[in-house]
Amino acid sequence: MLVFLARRLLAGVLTLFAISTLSFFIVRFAPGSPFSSERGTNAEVRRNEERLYGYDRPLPEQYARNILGYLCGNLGPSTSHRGRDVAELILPSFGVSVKLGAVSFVLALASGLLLGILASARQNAWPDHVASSVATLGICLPNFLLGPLLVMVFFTWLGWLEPTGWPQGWTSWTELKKVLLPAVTLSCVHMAYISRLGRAGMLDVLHKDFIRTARAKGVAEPALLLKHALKNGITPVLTYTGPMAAYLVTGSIVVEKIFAIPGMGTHFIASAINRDYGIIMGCVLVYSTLVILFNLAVDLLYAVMDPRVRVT
Amino acid sequence: MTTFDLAAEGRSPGQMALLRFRKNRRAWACLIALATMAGLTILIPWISAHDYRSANYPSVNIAPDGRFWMGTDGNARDLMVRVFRGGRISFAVGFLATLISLSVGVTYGAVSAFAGGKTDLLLMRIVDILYGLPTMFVVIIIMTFVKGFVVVFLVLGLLSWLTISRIVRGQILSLKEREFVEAARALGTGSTAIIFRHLIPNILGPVIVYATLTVPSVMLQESFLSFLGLGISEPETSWGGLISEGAGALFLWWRVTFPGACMALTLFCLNAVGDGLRDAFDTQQR
Repeated sequence: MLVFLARRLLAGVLTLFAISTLSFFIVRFAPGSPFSSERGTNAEVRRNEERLYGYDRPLPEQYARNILGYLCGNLGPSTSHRGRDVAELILPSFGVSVKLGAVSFVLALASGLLLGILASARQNAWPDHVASSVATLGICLPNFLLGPLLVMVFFTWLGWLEPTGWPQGWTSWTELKKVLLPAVTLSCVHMAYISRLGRAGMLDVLHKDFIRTARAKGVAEPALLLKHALKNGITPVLTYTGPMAAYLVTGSIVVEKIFAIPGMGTHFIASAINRDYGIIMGCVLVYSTLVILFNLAVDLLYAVMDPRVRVT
Repeated sequence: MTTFDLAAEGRSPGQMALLRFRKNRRAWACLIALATMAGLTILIPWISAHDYRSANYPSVNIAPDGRFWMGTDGNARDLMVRVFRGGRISFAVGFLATLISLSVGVTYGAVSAFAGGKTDLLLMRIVDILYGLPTMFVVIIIMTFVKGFVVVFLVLGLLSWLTISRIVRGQILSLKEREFVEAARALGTGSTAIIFRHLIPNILGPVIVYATLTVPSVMLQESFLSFLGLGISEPETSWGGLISEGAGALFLWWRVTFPGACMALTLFCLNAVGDGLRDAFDTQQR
């Protein structure tokens, strides 16, 4: 187990290294520079600015310095926000994105599983039809379409929810309401996939012999579904949660734009346009780390859910 | 009588799959709907009295009426022409990017599996690393400095071949041990010819199925980019761009509803056709 963990962590670090190398060179070979947008700066001022950030150095040297910095946990300075570190800029928005992502994750998993289990328990009856319609809807309504539609219905027409303004906490209902609309937008597609996967996985298990035995023993239907079948039927859903973390990350870029949420996606787009090298790299690294850790967690969960899976 | 004739002819697995697909009413209906939608995207901008670029002042933000069937946008342009013109771009990006992703992915996977040994290991390690790359971030960075239709489908195509290369590799690994490959080799056929004439035609089923599922995913990515203002640029447009514009004016319901409905319908049909093809080609289910 420990060997597995160590090996996977090492592989993760190597992947991060490859990703930072690739994105470093993609970003640097892109035309434009962090200082080209300031009109009226003469060549000398610009040279001084480049010297200040070390951008006048040869590229290999900058690259080495960058990677060394990352190894020491230093993300470097930001060029579009004078005198501030990338880390201190990203951190608050990272918290916002994580909050949105976490709510969406829980929402997608809980409602998707519920739909999937209901559909498998009553195959070809109305819960099944409801679940399959919801799944279909989720798949053909991408988040950048669903978001505006939800705002149109709940804000413009009904006036129930406020579409903008990101709350500080989550204690009161008014605050929770503000998180709900973006979270539903972000999680809808994944809820659809999870309900499909959950239904298929559960149906697979429900035809097994041990379920028939349990039924013959007189195990009540809810206990049968939740205690006997769920643990085995949930594996496909579990596999999906790894990639889902990555999809939530990219999806949140759009959702943050629709609902004007001050998250990392907003930061990333702005810095990609402004060529703020530090923030671009910082965002890419943070996101990649998150995705790698998530996949690792999913692999570990397999072993917990199914003792037959050996992690080596 | 007829059954006797058919039995005597014999059918290839491909023909059998096609027959199974025909029997799937839902998938067949969706294929027809899809063809209709694609046809409309070509036809409507062509026959319409309006042009997708020209403004019809003072008809700014007009609700759908007899003259503008889907209303007009904030620049007094006819929305219907723009919706179908945008659909043309969305379809074109979807199919061209899929074509690129297929040609790269199939070749890469086939070569990797056929070469085997160290080459295979190296090529697949590269795929593993690229899998870790946050694709959408790379695309966004690239799209901030190059623009245009060609760039969009090239970039999306060149970044979405990883899964197909894995699928193809898996299939070829088992196929290449079969007797017909040995026979071809005994006849003196070169490696390239074996890969492209003997191996790849044998795995067309899974490749086609995966391709139909790549098209909607690429269309989605393109719309995602256009929504962020990074994909297709004005006066040209795509569904993502139109939805983005409409999302800025939600009290004018037609501006987001029409492009949104077209896109949702297309995605639904593409997914249904993909599912239908998968059922038809999946011989294990029979």
